[in-house]
Amino acid sequence: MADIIVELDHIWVWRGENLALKDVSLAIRRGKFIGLMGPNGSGKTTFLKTIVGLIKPDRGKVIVTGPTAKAIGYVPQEEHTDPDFPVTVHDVVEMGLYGSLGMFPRIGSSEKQRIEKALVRVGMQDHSSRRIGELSGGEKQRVFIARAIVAEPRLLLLDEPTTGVDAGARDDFYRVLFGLIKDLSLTVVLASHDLEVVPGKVDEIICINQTVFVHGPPEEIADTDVFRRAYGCELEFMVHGRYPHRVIREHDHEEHDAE
Amino acid sequence: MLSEMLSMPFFLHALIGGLLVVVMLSFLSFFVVLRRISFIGVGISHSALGGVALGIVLGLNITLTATVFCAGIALLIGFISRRGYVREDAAIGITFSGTMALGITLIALSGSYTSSLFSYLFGSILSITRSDIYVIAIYSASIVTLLVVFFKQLLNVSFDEEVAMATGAPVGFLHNLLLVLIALAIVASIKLVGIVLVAALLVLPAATAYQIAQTYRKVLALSIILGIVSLVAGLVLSYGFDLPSGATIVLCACLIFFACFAVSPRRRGRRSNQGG
Repeated sequence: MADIIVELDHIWVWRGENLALKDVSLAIRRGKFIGLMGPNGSGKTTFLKTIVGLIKPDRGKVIVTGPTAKAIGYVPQEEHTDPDFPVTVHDVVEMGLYGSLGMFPRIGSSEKQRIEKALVRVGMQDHSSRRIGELSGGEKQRVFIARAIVAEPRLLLLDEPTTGVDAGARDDFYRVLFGLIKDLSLTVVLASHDLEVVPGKVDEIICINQTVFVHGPPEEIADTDVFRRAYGCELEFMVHGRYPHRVIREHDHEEHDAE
Repeated sequence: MLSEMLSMPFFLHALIGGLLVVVMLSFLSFFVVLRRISFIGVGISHSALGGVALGIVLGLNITLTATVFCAGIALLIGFISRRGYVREDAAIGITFSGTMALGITLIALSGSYTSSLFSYLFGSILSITRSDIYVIAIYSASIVTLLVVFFKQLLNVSFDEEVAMATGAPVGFLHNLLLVLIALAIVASIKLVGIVLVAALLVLPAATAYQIAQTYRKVLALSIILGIVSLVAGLVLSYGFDLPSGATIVLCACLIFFACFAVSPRRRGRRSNQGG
């Protein structure tokens, strides 16, 4: 029990008329890199928002264990901010400290050092005076990660961080992320529907579509039909990278209807 | 001409009162534009007529009655829009048309329909007194102080409300605080520029600065400078050409906006992006 960082206990969430999460119970253990997988609309974002406290579950409870309540860093999907907002990279990372500095945050020399260190960790230290809107999608995502880690959380939640970035930027992203996991002993939950890359990178997979279909190491679940059931279509078995994994093969949507 | 104007007490009062109001409104406009709540500002300013009319009809202090009424309307708009009971634009439209209609009806019942209505709708900056300036100074100092105290948190919430909330920022409190400060600023400004024109000054200074400045510090500083330039230019032109002062100030602010829009690096950047 000591290594559990977050526990979800029979979580039910409705979004309006729709059931988003149905009786979700699981534990996230310290030091794991977890891939949260599922098709579009499967409840991945709701799952992350429920953990971070942005959504209150209609039933069940989220238990965050550990010394501080501000134990979670959260990086939402990239497109949710105004690209014209007049703030620099430094300003954005500074905002990540406000939660831990109380209602009237004062930024002194130690806070400035933390901001600088966070920017160095994500490789954005040379961009600190650039306006956030000038950055590419991949660069922006790294700045948002710096904002999430500057307050030194134990758990980092990432929502579709590589959507819309090219293969090079995606590789850079994983290089930065593995560096953070190693240096900061971070626990990471990364939501993605990218079945081609994510299973080869993570320690555990949580596969959801409203409810949890499976939670375990990729090598144990790769050859089961759980993804086919979660995604509701045929998946092809692939072997490259660290673990064998499955990808969605081209399919006709009549396949769904036939099942 | 300026020295001749400054030698006249009524003009000096207008200038001092106007400076207090434009600094306060320009500072607020920074958050109104960044948070994209211009229509909320329009809604609260128009609903102020209901508060003014209640003060007249009930024989109460008009400023205090309007303050309580507008703050209540601001919180009601905030509550309805955040709870999602009604779409935000619909909530504002219903609230401001209803309270404005209430104001017009009450003023008509009070028997001072034409003169009172016109002065509250369009203001009369040249008729403000020394005691009006004291009231404006108290409102302006309080509002600017609160904006400075909560500046970082308001900026944080304006940039990314979701992440601010996730890190424990009191998002609901800050949103309501901003709405109440907008309501108070509107009440303090009514006598100078009127209900219709105060809504313009809640948007134009920052919207103009936003066209040419790249960082929030520059946007804020430029908003205040442009607000002051619009005020002084508007007062001088209205005196020189015998024009209504409030409307002339707003027209000057509009002209500055279009001039900045024409040379805006943001607009040119967008055009070159669209061009591929």
